Amino acid sequence: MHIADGIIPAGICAAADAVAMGGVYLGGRRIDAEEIPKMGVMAAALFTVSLIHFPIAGTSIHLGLFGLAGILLGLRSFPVVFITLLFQSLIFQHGGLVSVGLNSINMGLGALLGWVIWKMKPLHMVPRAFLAGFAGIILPAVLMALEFRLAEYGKGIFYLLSVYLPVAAIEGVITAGATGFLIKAKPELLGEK
Amino acid sequence: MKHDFLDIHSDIDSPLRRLDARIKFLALFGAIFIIVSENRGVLGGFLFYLVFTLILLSLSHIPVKFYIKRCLIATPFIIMAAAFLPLSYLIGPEAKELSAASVIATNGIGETAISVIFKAYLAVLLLTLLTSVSRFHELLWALRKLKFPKIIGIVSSLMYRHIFILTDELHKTKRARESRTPGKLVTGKWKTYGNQAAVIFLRSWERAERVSAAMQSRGFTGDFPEGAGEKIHFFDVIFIFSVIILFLVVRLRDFFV
Repeated sequence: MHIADGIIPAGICAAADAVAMGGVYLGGRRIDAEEIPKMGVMAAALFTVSLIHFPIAGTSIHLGLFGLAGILLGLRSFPVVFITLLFQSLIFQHGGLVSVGLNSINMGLGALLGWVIWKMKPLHMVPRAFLAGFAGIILPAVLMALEFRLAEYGKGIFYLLSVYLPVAAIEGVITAGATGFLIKAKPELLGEK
Repeated sequence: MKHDFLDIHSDIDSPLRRLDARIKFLALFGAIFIIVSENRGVLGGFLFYLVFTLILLSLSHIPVKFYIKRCLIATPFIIMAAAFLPLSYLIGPEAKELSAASVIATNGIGETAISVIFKAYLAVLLLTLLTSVSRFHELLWALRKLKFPKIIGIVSSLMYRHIFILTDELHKTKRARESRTPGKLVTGKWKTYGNQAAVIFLRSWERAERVSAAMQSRGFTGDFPEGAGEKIHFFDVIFIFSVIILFLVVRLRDFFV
């Protein structure tokens, strides 16, 4: 999911970096001073949960929880995702430094879609949370496939999406579980009374 | 505390370690960008990029084993991305229209895949170098000084401070789960992982509320006071110009030859 440097042409990466900076600006606009420490701690939490690895089909994958980030942080999730990915790039070389904008757009939009789905109140809480978690993975995967296509990959790259379907489903279940836990323990965190 | 993934070698003294963090960030970001901007499928410049990169690595005094380890971590992602390039033609509709081998051969897909591998490994090496010869708080300071959006600098600083605490929290929740249910989880696996993530978020939020209240009581208005800052020295200027010019000359070699 994290695109390394060198895979997508530099021009596209540079444009994505500029767009991501715009996204960070918009996501951080009119921010209250009291929100800033919360964003910092939640960014650290997002980074930390991404360290949870679990075994699946002989390999291990780590949590992204971009849908959950969207549910918890709303519009502020975009800058938080950008900063988390910048850290992951600098500390673990998960994703490139030049392509950090591209990765932020993919995963930040996944988080924002998760937030939009969570706001669809007529739906029951469980499917909403599941769909938010699912969208938080599948939208970045779709965007990544489109970007790979721009980088002259063949149309077969879209078959890659099928690999992400089970991962997105697992994230959906985990997001629904986490949301269910939070709604019992601290409903105000999710904007629910 | 178990979080030695941060600042592992940043205390090793070296000529690169002593450079200004802003200069290191700009020079190495510039070098990575130049390598990434290399024309796809053109392999001529990579030997020079590799030599320059190895010279920089040797100036860092960081054990070679560390760079190899970082490259090995990135290897599955890099190889997969490169392998998907021809594979995406072999499994895609293009294979039905023409022979897949001819599609790959005529479009120079093989060379492009090799250039992707070179670019990605060089970028990993340079990025590892950047974070190994700089303390993390210096890099954050550099981002602030380089006029990245204010929110990035402030939130990053707070995030850096709390990563250590929350990583410990993660280990605590993991140990608690393992003590309750030793071995592999069989039933309720995903719910357990969901609960573990929720506990991290919940404790983080409670901590965030306390931190927010404490910061506001000390008069926090959305920005940190600026430190005295450091001056850029002559050697910093020499370093950034040397790196950028050397990499740029290779990149623009067609204009010179």
